[in-house]
Amino acid sequence: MTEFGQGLATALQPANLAALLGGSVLGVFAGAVPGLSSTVGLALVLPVTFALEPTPALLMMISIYMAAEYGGSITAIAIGVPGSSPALATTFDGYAMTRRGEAGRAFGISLFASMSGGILGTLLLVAALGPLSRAAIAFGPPEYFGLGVFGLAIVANLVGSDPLKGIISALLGLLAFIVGLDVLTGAPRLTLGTTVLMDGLGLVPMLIGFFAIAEALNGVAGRRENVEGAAGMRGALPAFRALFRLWRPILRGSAIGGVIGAIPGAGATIASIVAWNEERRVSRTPERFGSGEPAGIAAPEAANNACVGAAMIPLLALGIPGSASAAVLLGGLTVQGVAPGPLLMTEQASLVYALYAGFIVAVVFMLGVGRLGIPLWVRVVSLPPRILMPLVVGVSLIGAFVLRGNLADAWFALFFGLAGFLMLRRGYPLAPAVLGLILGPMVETNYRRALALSSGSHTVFLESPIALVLLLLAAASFAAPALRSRLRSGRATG
Amino acid sequence: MSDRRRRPVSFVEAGLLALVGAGVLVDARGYPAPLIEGVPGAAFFPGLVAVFLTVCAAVLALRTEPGAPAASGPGGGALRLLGAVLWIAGFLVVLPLIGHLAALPPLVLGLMWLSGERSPWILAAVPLAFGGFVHLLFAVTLGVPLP
Repeated sequence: MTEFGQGLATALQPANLAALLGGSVLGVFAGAVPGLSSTVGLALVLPVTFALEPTPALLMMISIYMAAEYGGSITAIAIGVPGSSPALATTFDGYAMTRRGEAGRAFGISLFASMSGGILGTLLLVAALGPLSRAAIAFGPPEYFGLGVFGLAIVANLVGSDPLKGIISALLGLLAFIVGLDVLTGAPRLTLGTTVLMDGLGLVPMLIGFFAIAEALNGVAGRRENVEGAAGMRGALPAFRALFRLWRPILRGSAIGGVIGAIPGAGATIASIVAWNEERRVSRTPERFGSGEPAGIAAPEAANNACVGAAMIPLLALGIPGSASAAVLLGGLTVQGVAPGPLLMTEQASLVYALYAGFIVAVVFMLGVGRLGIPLWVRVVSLPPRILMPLVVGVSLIGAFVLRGNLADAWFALFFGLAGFLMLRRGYPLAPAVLGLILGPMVETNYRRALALSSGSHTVFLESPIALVLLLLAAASFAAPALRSRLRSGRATG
Repeated sequence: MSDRRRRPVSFVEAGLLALVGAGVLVDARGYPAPLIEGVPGAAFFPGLVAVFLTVCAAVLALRTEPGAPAASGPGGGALRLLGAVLWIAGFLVVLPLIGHLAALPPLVLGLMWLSGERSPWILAAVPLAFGGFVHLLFAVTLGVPLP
């Protein structure tokens, strides 16, 4: 406790406070702009940190990381475009609340859940740095395969009213991920003999195309619902008591984010989608999910912010980055002469405790910046779509370019925008395709790796208790919607 | 009386999906063989997805659907839609040639006009302000190199 107190005193020094505040502002912005993300925000600020002392430099970076996870929900709720991929699940219920004229309530829930998830993830980091990092590296190919299949099973809950079209959408997403070089053999797949497709189509162009450009095309075709017309747009935050009623989804989301975030390579996107799905699964009113259910915002937002602290566990304890953002953070640590690993706690304990305290202060700043920003976001939502959507397209295309400095990504975004528009027009849900693109690499690569390690024996998936449990959960998740509707029809007839 | 029937547009969709599946299967034939006997190679997963897609396409072609379309078509908006797609494509073509400061305002102006905005003041001011905002934010503040 004394060490934590000293860490807190370090974090509260003026220079460190300024770094944390600047990081919060930058992070919210990086998270909110489609195409940018916590990773891009961290990469952009990395050269700036070279000139800083190690403590403020690292505090600024963790503050960006934390705030960007919340920032992604802003555009997800405001215009249905996830600012970054971890906010994908937030669009399902967040944007539905905005369309109902409850944007302020949705922003409040997102901010409160992000804050709670951020604090719980930090507490997990403090409590479980040692044991959880050892458990996290127990994940091998069979376990990752199980996790990927479990994630894909969520498609069963995203297919909407036409399961066949939902499955086709997921298959198209899986095909989209195949485009590019095969990770294991380096063979070009579905590249049509061109070099431009060898790097793959990418998640960000798909997100921008599906959620920003397709929406703009809807507006041009005269079919986008006018959110301003949904009047009664209320900027009011929900009362604290109403937020506190969401403690169960927030705790469940934080727990899921804490566990998945600590697994290197799993990441906040998977954690938030799993959290949304689990919340829907345990809910007494699952049919309300996707149409503006507050728990559908609280759980994924708590999960993706809990991932931030959790992703630091393998990073600090073992030097293994748990996410792309953590990899940039690792770069920042290395530049500052900090060597993560088992000896970090003994050799640089004061820095580690300052980081722990910094996470808590970063959450407080995120809360302040986020709260002050809510009236602005509500005003942005109130802009007529005929003005708002062209601006979103402009920022999105620039964002698509910025990510890899490649104009091809902006073309891919346009392709996905047109494809998304046509899919929506024909009744194909878009979320399963995104899920296919996100989880396809994890499923395929680890399936092949696991079989290579076991000389082609499928028993490798049954011998691992973690993989077995995940596969059973996946089977249950696939079967749950059908069982639920059968039970409901049984009750109705009987 | 049931209003469910097979619709021609579903056949077209199913045909396109089956074509994609077949294309993937043909492409996968050229992938390298598995490195280890009994372990799936680069062609396994694309082949599996293509087969599932073809099966789904067959089910889509054979099943009946409600008589009403899945979603209403763009109708009179079709030309505007085509115009918007071509406008965005044009922006991407000229962006590396004339730079973001010159290319962004016309992009926004065109999309706003196609979306129904007719106020000359808004059509003039918003695109210019937006171009300046993007330049200040990305190029000046963040130091991101833009075309």
